[in-house]
Amino acid sequence: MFRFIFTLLLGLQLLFGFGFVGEEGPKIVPVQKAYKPSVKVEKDKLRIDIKMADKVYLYKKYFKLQELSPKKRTIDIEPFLPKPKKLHGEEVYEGNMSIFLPLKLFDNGDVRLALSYQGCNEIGICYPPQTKEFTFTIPTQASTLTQAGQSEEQGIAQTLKTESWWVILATFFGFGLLLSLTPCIFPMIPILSSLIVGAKNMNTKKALLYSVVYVLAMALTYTIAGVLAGLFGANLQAALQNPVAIILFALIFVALALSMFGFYEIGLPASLQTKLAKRSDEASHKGGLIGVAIMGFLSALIVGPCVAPPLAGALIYIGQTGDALLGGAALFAMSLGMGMPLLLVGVGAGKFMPKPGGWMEAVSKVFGVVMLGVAIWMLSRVLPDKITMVLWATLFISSAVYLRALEQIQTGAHWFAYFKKSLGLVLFIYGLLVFIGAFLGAANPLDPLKPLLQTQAQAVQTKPLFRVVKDYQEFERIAKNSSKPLLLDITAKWCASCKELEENTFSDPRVRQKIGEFTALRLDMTDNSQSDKEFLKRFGLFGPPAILFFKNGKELRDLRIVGYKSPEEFLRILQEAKRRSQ
Amino acid sequence: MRRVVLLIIIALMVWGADFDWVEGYAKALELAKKEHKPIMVMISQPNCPTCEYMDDVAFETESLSDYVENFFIPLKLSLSQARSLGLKAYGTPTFYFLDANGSKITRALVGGATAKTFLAKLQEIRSAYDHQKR
Repeated sequence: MFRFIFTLLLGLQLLFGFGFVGEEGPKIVPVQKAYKPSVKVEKDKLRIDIKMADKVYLYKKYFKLQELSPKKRTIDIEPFLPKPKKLHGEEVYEGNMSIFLPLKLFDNGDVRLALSYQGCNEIGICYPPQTKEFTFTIPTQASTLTQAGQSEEQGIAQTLKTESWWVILATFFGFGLLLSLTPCIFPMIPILSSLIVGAKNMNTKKALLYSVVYVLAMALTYTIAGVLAGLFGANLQAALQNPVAIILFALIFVALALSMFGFYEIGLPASLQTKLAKRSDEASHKGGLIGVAIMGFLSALIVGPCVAPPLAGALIYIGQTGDALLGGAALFAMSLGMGMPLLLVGVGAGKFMPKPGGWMEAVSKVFGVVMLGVAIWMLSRVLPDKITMVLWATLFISSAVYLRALEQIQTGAHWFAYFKKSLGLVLFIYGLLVFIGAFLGAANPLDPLKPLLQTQAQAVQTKPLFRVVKDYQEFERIAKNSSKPLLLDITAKWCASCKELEENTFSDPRVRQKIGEFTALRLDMTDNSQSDKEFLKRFGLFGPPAILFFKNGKELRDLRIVGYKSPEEFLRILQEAKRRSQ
Repeated sequence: MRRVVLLIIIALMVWGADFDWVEGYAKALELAKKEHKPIMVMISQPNCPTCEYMDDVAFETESLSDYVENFFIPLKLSLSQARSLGLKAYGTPTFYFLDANGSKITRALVGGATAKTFLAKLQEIRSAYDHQKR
């Protein structure tokens, strides 16, 4: 309708001096001169300029862009077109126009494009549709850094560069809260609880104080270790994952456990106590706090060496800018976030603590067992699975024995005696299962009979998913000769997130099947050797877990995975890697 | 309401003055031979304001439409159809005038014109055609 009215108006307007063009009338501009398109690569964008002659315009709706090579496909140009003008009821462009297209719309390498457009001359004719072809090369630099977007931790590093202080601190605190619900933090919960339970004269206020000190010590340690890692590329936490440090730490827990059992009391030497404070109860108080701080420090270093995207992002930022202040503040905020649940646990433990006496003793002993569990958990990083499993079994069975599960209950005993025996029996049976599991080849004390439950077919299927590489040279050799897309998993026995990946993600049948389409390599850096460190340095990584994807020996940097990913998220990234590698 | 009024106007125009575009090139040649008329080819495309002006205004003018009806075989072609017949077009609209053998009798007319100008041009072409034939 409107078009009709417009046409009518146009007709009336042109009634005078309207006639044929080209013959006697004004000279008509041929289409080649009417529109002169050209392309140029500008940073991460492709710029298309169209110079237009006088009185000439182009219709918005007729713009069409096709990639002819490397792939043949249509690219939706519509969202990138500038704001049009209205002319005769149509959306058009006049004069000179520029279109900016992100390079990530195109495939890498030499690209051939066909741009189609159509328009008219106000003189009274419309040009036939035109298609122009262009070729250009996407620089590889751009393709790896900016064109293809960013991986998660790069995005976080970018946030640090652009956002304001408060936003950064709040964001990282949030990241920390999220991370607090991962296996990186879990082991700290029994440690802190044990410290609180083990201390004398505990009350809610004191428990809160202990928790705050513990969390602050942990956060400070994380921050310092992080800043050092960012500045020097050295991973202090990974460095401490050697058998000596781990065994020492495990021994500390055994010692704490024994003191919980009441064999002796741990306190600072008397000479040190008097130096610290005049009054002796104040001294033990301060001594206790120092002990808690030391435990916080050690826990952060040894218990939870977890690399997650926010941590890696902050480290990248520090490494790139040398700005240890902002990077460190971000890490500190993140660590505080991670510590929040610990505060709750600590206060809870303090609040519901029984009065000194029979009950208190029982609770202390339970926590003693928990401490021993932590010690075994630590040792599992350096001991063979079989021995770890036997240790777990021993822990369960001896707990049962101490609960008098194997002794007869005297007639007329308190109901609690029955309860204790039942609980003890359950522990005993579970301990037996773990013991059996140890010899069946199970590695997870939570799932001791897994090897029995696997059918023959599954056993065949569980052939190693990854091919282990020793060093970079070996990796490079395989990468060069691989016809399939390549995936590299970096893992270590002491890395909690790696274990999570292994148990949830890599065991998923869909993931296993998809990984089968890749040449899957694995670097196990449990011993953190010199060659392992060099390997990490080559890729600017700070530690496990990390999963990298390669196409023709070049890393698809934006797909890099740092930290834990659920099977669904991981599958999505695998699919994208597969698609991009074709 | 406005829609209804417009419909009535269009209906009146259609009823008042009209000629029918011939279906296809072959049919046009056949009619040209039978009725001894030259073919008027209009090369058109969508979203061409001048084409729309010609269709909706100029060719709806009684004097022009009567003349086309009586003295020409009107044939409308798209750009690609025209190209396949060897009729080049700078743009649209472009008018070609062909005899019954399909050969051009004049140079192409590029662009549009008012009914009056167009009619004068048509008369000129028609007389040249008659002259040629004689």
